[in-house]
Amino acid sequence: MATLRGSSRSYSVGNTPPRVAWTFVRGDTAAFKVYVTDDAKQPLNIPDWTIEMEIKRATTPQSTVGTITDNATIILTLSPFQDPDDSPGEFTVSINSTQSALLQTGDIFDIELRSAQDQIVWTVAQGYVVVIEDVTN
Amino acid sequence: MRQAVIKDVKKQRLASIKTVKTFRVKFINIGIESSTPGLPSPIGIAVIGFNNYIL
Repeated sequence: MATLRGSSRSYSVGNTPPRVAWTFVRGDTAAFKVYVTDDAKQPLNIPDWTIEMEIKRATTPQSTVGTITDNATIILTLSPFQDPDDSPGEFTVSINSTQSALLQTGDIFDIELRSAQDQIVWTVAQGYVVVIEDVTN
Repeated sequence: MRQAVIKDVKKQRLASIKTVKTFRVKFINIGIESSTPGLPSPIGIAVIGFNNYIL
């Protein structure tokens, strides 16, 4: 919280989503888990939320790897979910071998949670993939 | 003769701006089980920078 006094004319509000770099070897299965809570640090009830994740490739070369842009083509659409191993508030993002083989370094993604009737829409994270080339296919 | 004194009263006003942080997030890497203390897993996921989101 900030208190604006006197002659100050501007203040920044809002938050930038965390930026994530996801590294894996081409053709490998890969996964990570995300743990989400409310501001009181109480875990969200994942079944109450729709989780969507798209991985896209920029249509024009980016000067900085992983720059988030609207000019991009969908490569993969994932639906992260809470699997039996996940604790309350946790869900898993995973790709299989076929999916990871499609991706290239610099492909961008974000993870979005939506409540019922889109009353709340929250971008949990934005990021990009780093694909390490493999030797054994 | 009457006089009138006009005095400009400047009241200091305060404005409080509070960013509403409704959610927090943490990322958990799923590593390679075969790694050892002498050969740690490569970083599978890295969070670049910090912000108010991160648990």
